[in-house]
Amino acid sequence: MRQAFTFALLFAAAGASAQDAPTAPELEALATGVVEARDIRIDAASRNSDGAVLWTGEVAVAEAPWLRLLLRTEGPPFPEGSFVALFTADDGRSDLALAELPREGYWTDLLPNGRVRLAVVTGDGTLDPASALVIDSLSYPGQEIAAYSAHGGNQITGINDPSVPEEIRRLGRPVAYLSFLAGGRSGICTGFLVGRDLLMTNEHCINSDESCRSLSATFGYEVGVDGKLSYGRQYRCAGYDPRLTSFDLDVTVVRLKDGPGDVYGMIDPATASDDLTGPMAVIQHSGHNATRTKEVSLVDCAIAAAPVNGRAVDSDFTHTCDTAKGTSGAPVLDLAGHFRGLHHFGFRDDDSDIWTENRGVRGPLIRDWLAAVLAETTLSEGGDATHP
Amino acid sequence: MSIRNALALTLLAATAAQAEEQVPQLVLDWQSSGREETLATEIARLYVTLHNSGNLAVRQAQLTDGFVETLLREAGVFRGSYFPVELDALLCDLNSAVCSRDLRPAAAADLADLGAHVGGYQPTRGRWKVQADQVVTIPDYSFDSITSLTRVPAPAGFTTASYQPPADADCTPWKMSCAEVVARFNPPQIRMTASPPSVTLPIVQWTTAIPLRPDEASKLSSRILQTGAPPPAPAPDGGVKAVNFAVPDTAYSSDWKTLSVKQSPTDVTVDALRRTLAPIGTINRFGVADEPLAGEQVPLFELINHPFAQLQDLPPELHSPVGIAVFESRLENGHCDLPTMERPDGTEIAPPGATDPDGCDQVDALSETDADHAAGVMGVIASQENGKGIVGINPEARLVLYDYDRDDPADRQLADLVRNMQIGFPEEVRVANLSLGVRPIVDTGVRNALDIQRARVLIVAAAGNEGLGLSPGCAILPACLNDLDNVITVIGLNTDGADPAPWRSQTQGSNTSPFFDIGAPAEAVLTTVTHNRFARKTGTSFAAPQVAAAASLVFSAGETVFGDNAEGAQLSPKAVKDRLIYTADFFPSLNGKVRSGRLNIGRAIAVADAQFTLFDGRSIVGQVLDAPVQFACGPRGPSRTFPTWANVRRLVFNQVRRQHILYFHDTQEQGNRDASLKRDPGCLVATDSAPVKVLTRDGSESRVEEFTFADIRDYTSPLFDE
Repeated sequence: MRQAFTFALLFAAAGASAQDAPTAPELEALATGVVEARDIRIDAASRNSDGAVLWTGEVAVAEAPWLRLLLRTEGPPFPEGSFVALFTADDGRSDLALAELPREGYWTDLLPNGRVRLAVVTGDGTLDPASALVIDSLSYPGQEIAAYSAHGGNQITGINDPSVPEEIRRLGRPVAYLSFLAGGRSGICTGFLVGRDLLMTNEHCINSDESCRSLSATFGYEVGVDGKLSYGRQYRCAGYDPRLTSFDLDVTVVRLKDGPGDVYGMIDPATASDDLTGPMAVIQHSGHNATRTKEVSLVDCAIAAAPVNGRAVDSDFTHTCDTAKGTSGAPVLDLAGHFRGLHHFGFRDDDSDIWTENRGVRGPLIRDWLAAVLAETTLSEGGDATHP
Repeated sequence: MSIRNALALTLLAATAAQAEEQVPQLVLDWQSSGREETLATEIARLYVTLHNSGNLAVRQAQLTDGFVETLLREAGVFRGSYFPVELDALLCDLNSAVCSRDLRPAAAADLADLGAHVGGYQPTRGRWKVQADQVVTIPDYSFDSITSLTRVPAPAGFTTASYQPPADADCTPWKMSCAEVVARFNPPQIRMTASPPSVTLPIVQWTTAIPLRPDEASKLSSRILQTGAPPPAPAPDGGVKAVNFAVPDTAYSSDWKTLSVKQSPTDVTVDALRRTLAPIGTINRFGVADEPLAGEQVPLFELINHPFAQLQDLPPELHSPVGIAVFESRLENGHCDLPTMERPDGTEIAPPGATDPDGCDQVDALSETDADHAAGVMGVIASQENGKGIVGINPEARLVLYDYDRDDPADRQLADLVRNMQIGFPEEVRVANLSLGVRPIVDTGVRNALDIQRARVLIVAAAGNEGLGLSPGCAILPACLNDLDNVITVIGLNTDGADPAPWRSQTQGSNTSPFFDIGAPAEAVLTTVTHNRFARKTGTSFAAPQVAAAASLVFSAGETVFGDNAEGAQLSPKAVKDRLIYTADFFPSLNGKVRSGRLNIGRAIAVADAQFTLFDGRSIVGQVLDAPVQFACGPRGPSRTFPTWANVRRLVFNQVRRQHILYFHDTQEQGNRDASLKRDPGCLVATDSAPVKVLTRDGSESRVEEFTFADIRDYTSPLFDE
């Protein structure tokens, strides 16, 4: 199966450069962001402030809905107690201890509205001239928006649009906007809570320690009824466990720090069944608008055929729900909130290809896999498999 | 009189080798609240406060009818609708030979309030045994009245036509009657049919200078000494009125004697007057040198040539309360060093007042919220001369705060901006500061919204911090709309005095354009931030308000000096924009970055006179009596042009190119300021021997200075011709 997947990617790359060739299918529905090297070095020679505050400055990307910085230190350690304070556009503040920044760097949380003011505080200690905080790179969302397999017009709707029923809106609470960086690339996907601290998404989104370390799962990333962009809390990944990943089912589960399920609830995979009838909903961070805030596909959204082959034989169903880049890892739910599957593939509209429908991994396969791996991993660690 | 002026008294006294006067003697200005119904209480509490701290100045006076109240009114040391018991008790204690009263010790809680007891005793009526012609001791102060404007809840049934100003009100500073002032400051508002919740009205306040005893224990005195402010020159008559402080010690209760010796009399007096601001008036006429952090602002003031650079106060023609609309993130609370700010709906954001924190001088670099940004912009413009913190470029400016949400999508931000512009600004608003930049997706009508203010409001736009070199037609709004006559775009500069460059940091830099208008320092500008703190702020957001405040000063000066002949006529925003541009300091290092140079406030606000600097170093300021109607400019030979002198706004020598830079209004009509302001960067002056005569004034003396045209190194025209 992995060979077939690789072939498909190469095919997609070749097709992208041929203007007159039939549009090739695009499998993974993850969106990519922009990563820019900056290499801004802040050291003793950078001083522009008084006393304990070594330096203040601002980093901004015009019109970007968010920004992330890769921060690292160089040279001898900063004096004890040194930190960098991040002042965000929503008047939030977070302090990062410089001593705790990993040498390879730390990607900050999403910094709202593409701007952040920084203050490097070194306390009363003497700063070695060779010590430096480096703003290595920054990342922000790209502007590309590609609707996949839209039936009729693209009818993805903002989660707080008045046309969206309250019960659907409520189902969306455990759905998070995922940003991660790996291999020098920025990825954007959707994920959702399946336990107090367990986040499910696609394997093609999170599949390594690196992508886990940089993962920021933002809940409540929505445009409200007042039209304002709002951010809920962001959660970081507690660690990547390859046992909680299935390539064939294109699914990964990672643990998040601080138990977001206490705040946002969960979607229970145990509700999955092979009943694939009726209207469905895909709650997603798809990029119907440039900010990729939380949206839902409700209109003309149903499961079309099952089972069909996905990464594994008979692993998938096709569905008619509108999606776009960034929908990878979104839950496919019936209107009662039962888990029906995990969206993972989308395709550009193209009648000449057999791949003309969006794809989700069947819910029961996910349910059974998750129960098994949780039992295995939890029991091996002496835990209780019944309480993920 | 300000605290700083009082330093002169101190030095004069020190020459008499009296050890006590080595400590500065402070003189505060006290001012009543302006409410007639509380004036008697305010004055009584002022005297009681001074008496209790040992700072009451007294003199002897002769009764006329046997009543001390009559004497006090005749002597001009008391006003008000009744005679408070506190004042009667105080006078009784001052005249114990002819008066006695029940001395009941004040409660411990009352002792903490300098205005709530008299020498440690409860206020009680005196039993006087006096007769006409008897000499008694009374307070020794001289009161003046001033008329000012204040925002107050609208009286019931208020209309501008029916309102009766206070009888003592004197509105001559506004060059109109008080009824006209009321009409001007309370215009009808578009789409507002309901009565306004508050209105701007003239009030009469009583003010007097209050000398305090030299006080070695005073922290306030120490702080003033630490500012290093140079004392002003002694008064010409060399005399200082002797202050005779009352010696009331024998009238103090034992509890009060015990308590009072533990405190600095000066500091407790100032604290008492400040804390009880509402009931007893306010201390508000400080000089710029009284600001604890003013010394740290001097480098900025020097760069932009503000009078405050010499710690000099602004002259009276700059005291008109010009309104500045500021579009900024929402501020929830006032600041101890900012004036009361208004919102468009008439609500106010007042300084903390009774909860005013001690000090009001804490610098905190970790002040980086959007609200800090907003407070910072306000402070650059109008931080108060109040003995606290810093001073803004125009402390007399009135701030009207328009909430602006930087976190909204770009087009919504602009839609809000357009809506506010369409609704219009309050009458007093002549300048709007927009330290913001937005790239719209669609045309939201911003250009039209700015243009409709063309006759009334100068829009000051920050160039933005992306470090971009921009061209005409660029997309950042409102900065790129500065082709409009009433939009002036400000780039940020570094703090290099002699060779400034666009400000640039490790992460940001000022946008520039040869078509942007003017520059101002954008690095480490010390200003106010939230929670009564101060911080150094960086970016074009803090350069723009320097220009906005400077513009308000030009409006004030221009309309005061030239507004006599046409009542109600206002200075056009274009005239102010042009004035700021052609009075700037020009530097070769800014060529291609901005169309003029660095803001020069001193040159801009000297609106009345022509300003010359000659190659021989002379500086001549006055009225031009004679100059060539035209002069030759350009390469020698037949291609030279002949600028019309009356349309020249600036002629300044470029040391590098050995030619003059010329700014002129491009019109055939002499003296017309409505024409387009043009710049000729290479004027080789070829009119050498033509005489120039300038009438200069020095007090009552006037004289005519003569020189040749070739002597001119730098000429700046007056704002308008005489």
